[in-house]
Amino acid sequence: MNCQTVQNKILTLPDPRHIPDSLREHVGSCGACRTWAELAGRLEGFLERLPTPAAPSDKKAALIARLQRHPETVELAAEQPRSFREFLRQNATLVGGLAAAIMVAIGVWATLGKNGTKQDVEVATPKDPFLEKMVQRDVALAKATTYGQKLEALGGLADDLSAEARGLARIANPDELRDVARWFDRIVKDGMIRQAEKMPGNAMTPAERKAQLTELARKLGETADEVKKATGEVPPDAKPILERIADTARFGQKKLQDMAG
Amino acid sequence: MTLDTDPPLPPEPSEEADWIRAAQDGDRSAFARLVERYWDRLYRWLYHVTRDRHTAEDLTQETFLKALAALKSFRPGSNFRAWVFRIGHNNFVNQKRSERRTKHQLPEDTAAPAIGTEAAIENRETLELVAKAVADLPEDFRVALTLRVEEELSFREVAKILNTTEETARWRVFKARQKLMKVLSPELLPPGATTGEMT
Repeated sequence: MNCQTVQNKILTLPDPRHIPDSLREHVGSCGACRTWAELAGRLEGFLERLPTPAAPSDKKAALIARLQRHPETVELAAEQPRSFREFLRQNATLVGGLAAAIMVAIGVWATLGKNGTKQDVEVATPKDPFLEKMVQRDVALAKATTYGQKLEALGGLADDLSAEARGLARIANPDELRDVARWFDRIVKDGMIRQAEKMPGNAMTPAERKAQLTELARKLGETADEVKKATGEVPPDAKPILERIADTARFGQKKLQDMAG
Repeated sequence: MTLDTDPPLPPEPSEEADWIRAAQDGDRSAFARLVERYWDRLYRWLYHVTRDRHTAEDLTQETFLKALAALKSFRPGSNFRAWVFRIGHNNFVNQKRSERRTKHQLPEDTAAPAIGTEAAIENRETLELVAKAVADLPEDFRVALTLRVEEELSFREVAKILNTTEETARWRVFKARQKLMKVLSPELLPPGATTGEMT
């Protein structure tokens, strides 16, 4: 076992002050690793003694007093959904409606052409910044009257999803991250690429079409680079999911570039 | 020698189990005992996570109110402390999502040790440096590290509270320690020692 491996393993222990037999022999015979273990142990000791200032008011005593003397006055608070996935589960109707609206807007547009009617879906704005953005993008999608506007809205959705993924990658559980990756997949492949493929030749001038598709391809390329960079600083189980998002972005970039000509 | 495995959960004190049962049956004074037992620990952890004592206190109160509301869903025999801390973490995450507010304060009212030996003074100075370095850690690393060290939770328990995998919990604690060691190694030497003198 080399020193770097031993030193990393020491930092991964539940408590670096307790060195297991598997590392003890090397630590005992290697000066550098012995010093490392001692410093890591000292750090752990300091971490246990981090100072904590007193609370600014006495809410603890106040709550205990109310629970004991006036329990009927204690107002209970319901727990808010914490994760994107929990939000999806608890608001299935809302989010199902949102997802359906996005897909219907894409589907109807593709089927009926630019003068086709679109289904209006009323959704209350959810109290979550990311989902608020999703709703706003959906509204923009629903209001879009040209292929160009629709592609722009879809590009914005893809941006928001990749940013959410990068933000979630270090803190979310992998299932939540997979949900975001799936949405990103759908938006890029079923949304952007399909819209661009079905765009009739007279929807915009060749120069406008090339400019828009090139710009969207460039943004997807940037997304791929940013997501790839983020894989360096995320837990091991988030890496493959981020790599999938990066691959989808690259795929979309290439497709749109090819279509731009 | 300590094996590199998660220690078994301590048996739930029968007294605490009685309080939980009574509280689930509607006895608010029993719940008050649970508040008394866990408030300070939860506040301490939330303080190091939020770096703001006002926010930490508010979140602690909110956590116990939510715990009371959800008490019937708590499974007797499971780890009450971890359950409460999970609610606390959920509250912290919700609060971050809605406010995106950060405050960075060094400890304000921390008591200084009464003894003024040179070693004690150097240790106090090192402790302040460690506190600042911890406050500067990325939030997800700081959250996991403080749960592991302050609450002596296993990586499995940390993972449950943070709603992630054990591997991720271990990774975050590792990254936190790695960053701290990089920043603090010179400061961690015992007073008067140099690297070559440590045995």
